[in-house]
Amino acid sequence: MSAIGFESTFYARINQFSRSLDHVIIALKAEPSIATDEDWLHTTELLRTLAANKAPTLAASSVAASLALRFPFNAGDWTQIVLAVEKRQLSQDMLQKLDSLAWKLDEERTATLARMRHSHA
Amino acid sequence: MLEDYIQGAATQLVQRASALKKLIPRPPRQEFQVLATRCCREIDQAVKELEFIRDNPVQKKAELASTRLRQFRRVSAWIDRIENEAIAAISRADADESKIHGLLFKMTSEIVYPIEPPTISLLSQQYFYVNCDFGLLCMPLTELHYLLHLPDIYHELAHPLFRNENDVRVQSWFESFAKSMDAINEHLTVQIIEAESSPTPQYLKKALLLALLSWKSRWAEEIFCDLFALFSVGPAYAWSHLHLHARSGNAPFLMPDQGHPHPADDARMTALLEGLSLIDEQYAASAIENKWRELLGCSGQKEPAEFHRFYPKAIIRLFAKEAYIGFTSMGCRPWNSKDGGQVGQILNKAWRQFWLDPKGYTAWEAQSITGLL
Repeated sequence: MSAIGFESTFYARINQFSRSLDHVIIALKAEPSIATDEDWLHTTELLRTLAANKAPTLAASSVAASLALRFPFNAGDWTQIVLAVEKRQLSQDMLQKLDSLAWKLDEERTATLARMRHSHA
Repeated sequence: MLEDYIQGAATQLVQRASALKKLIPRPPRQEFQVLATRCCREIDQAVKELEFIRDNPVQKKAELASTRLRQFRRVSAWIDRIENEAIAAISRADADESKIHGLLFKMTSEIVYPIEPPTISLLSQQYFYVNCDFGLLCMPLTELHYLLHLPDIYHELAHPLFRNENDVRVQSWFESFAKSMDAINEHLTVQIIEAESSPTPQYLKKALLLALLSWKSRWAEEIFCDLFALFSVGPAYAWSHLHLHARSGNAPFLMPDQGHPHPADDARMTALLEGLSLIDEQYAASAIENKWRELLGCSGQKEPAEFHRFYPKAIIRLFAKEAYIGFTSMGCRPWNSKDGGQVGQILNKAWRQFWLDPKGYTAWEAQSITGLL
């Protein structure tokens, strides 16, 4: 069994969170209509998981754990951001953190793709 | 710079994505029609998204440059994957694929597989794998002529279940999985807290945290996929695990800080041996365990002192028990040596024959496989 089975499922999870987060960032910075309710839901689900180390879904749990493996961070940092995203009112500093998270997701997506291409049994 | 780059590169990608459709045979082989339809839908969606990234005025705002670049990269990678993984499989399909689809249908029917089976292709250059994004299971070109590794198909069939988190047909599987995850989470969290409040070496504290994150991100799913395969096809899957380990030479006692996506092979074998006892295969479990220990002895492998901390046996036992509950509760038929299906029986018979007459096995296999395909 190659790791591709897991990695391709994981890739789809990362892709979904990454896509939704980008839409939310566009919505917060420029055009609210770009983000759908689903985008907001996915983004808050991931942020809550990062903040509380508890996940409502397997998708959020595995993505948050994988991010923590590669990019250690302080869970407490995300608590305020979750509240701000729920109110849809973020400071510049918070927006920068969201943008930084979006790049980490993108790095993880690329790394997952590389693992799929060089996977071994 | 970015505006010019996106205008040129996105336009070329739109053209390339559209051209991919022309590579699909007209008509595609029957077994690949679902995949072909899916590819066309994904290509249309990707083109739409590229046009949005390229042309929408909002995207051109300077403060959105980084999101625009990320979006472009994601769609670009997705189009590459459609081409290299899915269209490649459709366009190279031949008559052997019809045979292996027939076999997959028998396998999934025998175990009452709970969701739609994947398309299967002989495209793999990397052993068996399932690509859940396309519902495409790949195996090496000539593997359908040999029996000993075919049980690994059942492992791959388990991965797509994890893609259907909200599907009522696999709800009980997820409930069992969640209970197992809670157990390993609690066990390792307690150990991490204890380590923090006692004179524990720094490397061990770090390894415990890595183990917890690895279980949560990857290992638990792999163990559950192993157990799904074991409950589907019985001892043949545990033998296949031994066979793969003997051939590949993976370290059996991988530690968390070695960063491998799969859990250690020895921990996986522990889960399989526990699972065998749940399907009344204690005798086979004992035979497999003996050969496994002999194999590890041959390669001079010994369990590291702290190994059990990262792979606690009591929790692995609970994984086996929960996976069995999940497997049967979603209506799958567990392996039964007395009235297992035709495929399961042959795959198990193959392993018995292999050990009974190792030298003569190849001739026996060549005759037996024809009855299966």
